[in-house]
Amino acid sequence: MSAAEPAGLVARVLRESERTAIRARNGLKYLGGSEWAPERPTPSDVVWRQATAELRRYRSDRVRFRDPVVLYIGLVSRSYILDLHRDKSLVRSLLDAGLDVYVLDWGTAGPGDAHNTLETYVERYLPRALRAALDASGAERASMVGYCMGGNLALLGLAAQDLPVRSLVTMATPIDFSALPGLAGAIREQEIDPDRLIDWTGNVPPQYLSAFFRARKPTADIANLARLWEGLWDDEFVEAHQAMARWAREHVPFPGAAFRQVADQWLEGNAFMENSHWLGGRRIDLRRVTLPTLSILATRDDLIPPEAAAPIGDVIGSREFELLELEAGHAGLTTSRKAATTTIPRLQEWLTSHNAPKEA
Amino acid sequence: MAAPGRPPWMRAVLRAERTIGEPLTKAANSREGAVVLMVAARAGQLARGAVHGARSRVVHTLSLPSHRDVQLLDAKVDRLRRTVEELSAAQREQDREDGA
Repeated sequence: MSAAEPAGLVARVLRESERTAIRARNGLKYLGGSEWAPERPTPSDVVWRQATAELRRYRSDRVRFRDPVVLYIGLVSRSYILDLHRDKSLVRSLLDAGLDVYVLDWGTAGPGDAHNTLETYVERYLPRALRAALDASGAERASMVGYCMGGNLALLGLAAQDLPVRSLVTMATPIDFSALPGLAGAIREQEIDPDRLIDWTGNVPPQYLSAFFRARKPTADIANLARLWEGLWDDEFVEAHQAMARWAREHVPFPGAAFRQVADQWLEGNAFMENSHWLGGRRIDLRRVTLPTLSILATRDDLIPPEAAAPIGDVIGSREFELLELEAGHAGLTTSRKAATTTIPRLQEWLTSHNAPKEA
Repeated sequence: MAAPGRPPWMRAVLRAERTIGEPLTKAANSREGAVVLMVAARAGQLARGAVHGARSRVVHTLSLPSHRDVQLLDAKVDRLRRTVEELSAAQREQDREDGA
């Protein structure tokens, strides 16, 4: 045994005991509800609001491109996944590329929103939020980025009406709903009656959605707790962990009327694949979506498997279409290390190449 | 940030989690798993509903409004508020079009 070895051993023991003391302190703070990660770490201002929906513009003095970029997700989660944590923020990455960034959050539906249909979001809130973004930016057209179900809302919006949009990005957006597993499959096969999921408020309660999301990986909490204990001495790790854990467990009620349409048209009718969607009492044609489109899918996505997302290029009418496949999971598409090196640079490049320099 | 080299206990936990978790994930992600899950979630909901119902009946015998009555009234007011907001937004759009 060399002299260095006992010294190294002592140093390791000292380091571990120091970390364990910090773990105990941070663990108590964590259990006590201390906040490491602020919600929406990037400064922003609300520029439009209706009912629960609001549009935020992210502050930047480095905007070099003319057209605003409007990002949003679906109706079951909060949009702060797009600005999760100071080191894992899609919003901040797009600001760094010189883009004028807006995030549309549909908010938390209450009993007063139970009658909201897909038309409410696609034909009312979305065009109004886009108009507000254009007014604030002084531009004529915007780029839209729809994440997960947000991409479906974007496709419906573009197929149903003329929206002032120059380019579209969809991320992990399901198209072939027959390829979705679990709850979606059970509703599709009418093993679960969608009406039975709606409570007295007229909405699908978030507890059902949380139970479904937790059940996707029933033992994941054990691994997450072990990872948390291992990294609990490190404030940066705890901050990132808390931000992700908070988003993953926070679901919002799904407006009942919109949910019935989703169950009927998307799940049972597979309306995106069959191009058979009805909106506002008329049938819409997805081939009307002809603007340049980038679609990003995650190959390890267990929520929206790649085979569910891949057919988008076959159902829309865009001639300029690109499909980017990334080895990541559903949320990892924007928050993983791979996202930082692959998705985000490609997204920055694509969005800036479909934009124009801002006039001085 | 936390060091990338994982201690042996952590590797063992992750290995065990994978071993147990994979079959459980497969079962939970099946249609049957979803049905079981939803039945369990709904049973919980119904149990809570029964408690609320019993509490409401007791309060109603005293001719007082229950918590659920207030919630239902709140929901109606909320719906009216949404209707007014929508009418205002539609009017603003109309004014804008007329102005243009």
